[in-house]
Amino acid sequence: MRPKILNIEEAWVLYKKLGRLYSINPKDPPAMMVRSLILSLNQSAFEDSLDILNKDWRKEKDPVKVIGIFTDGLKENQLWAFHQFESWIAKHGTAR
Amino acid sequence: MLELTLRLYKLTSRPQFKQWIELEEKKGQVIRAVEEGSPDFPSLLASFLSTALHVPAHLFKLVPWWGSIRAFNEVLIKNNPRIPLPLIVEYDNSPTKEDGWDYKGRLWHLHSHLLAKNYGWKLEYISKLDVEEALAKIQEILTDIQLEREFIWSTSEVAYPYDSQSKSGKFVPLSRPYWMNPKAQLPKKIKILKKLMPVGSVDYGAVGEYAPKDIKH
Repeated sequence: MRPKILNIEEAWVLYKKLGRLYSINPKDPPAMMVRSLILSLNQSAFEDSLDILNKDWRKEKDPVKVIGIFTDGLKENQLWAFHQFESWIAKHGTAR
Repeated sequence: MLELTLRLYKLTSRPQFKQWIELEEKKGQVIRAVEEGSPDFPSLLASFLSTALHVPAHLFKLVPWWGSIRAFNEVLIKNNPRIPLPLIVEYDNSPTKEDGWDYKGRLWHLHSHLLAKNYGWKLEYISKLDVEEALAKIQEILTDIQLEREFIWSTSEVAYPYDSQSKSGKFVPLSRPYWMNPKAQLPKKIKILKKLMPVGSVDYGAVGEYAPKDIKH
């Protein structure tokens, strides 16, 4: 299954779902971050995230492959870069 | 498609005053939405980009998220005024409060009103003004208003509250807006006599950039 490339609407929803966890340590390498995300997510948040990343994930019976869909989706979409954007806004973007 | 639109956008001239004001207002909404984590952020961003690039807002559902963010960044860079006007460069750290008479789209009416009232220009002419030109004129208008207020304040009794220690009225100046405050200065360099320096040998190689360079012998 090829990971879906998210548009701004989907990426924002997913980022907000995971954002608090991303902000724990934005300097973590992506693979480490994905691992800590999986460990910290509850089942419903995990399923919601998978729904955004790939609607067909339920067809996959192998749990290892389901985790693969999640990790590949996050890596392919470079969602941690959203944290950089948010930090940039916080630093420079204050509306005049 | 977005890539092509962005390339064309870079070739076009910078927005005129009215469009710039509209974009500034939308930029403010986008920034607030990010700061507040609002679910409206994607639609506000699409609206901002649609106004700037003259493309339908639904186009941004078809491009990767980083494409939309990149486009936002490109538009901000292009529209940023090139002159260092204190009105737009200085940072206002006071909490922004909304006036009771504020409404969506007021920014244009506020600025065009100031320019029309002071220079007698028509709205059509103001809307096509160069951004830097318009902003510089607005700063001058606001400076005039403030200096006039300060003069009136200085002639008023309330500007001289009674000081019980000196038993007379002491002048208290009218507070100025953030962009009129004096700029922060770098601390003055003070030369230190060598005999006042700490005794002992200093390994200047290890001190690096902090090594005292202005020692008076």
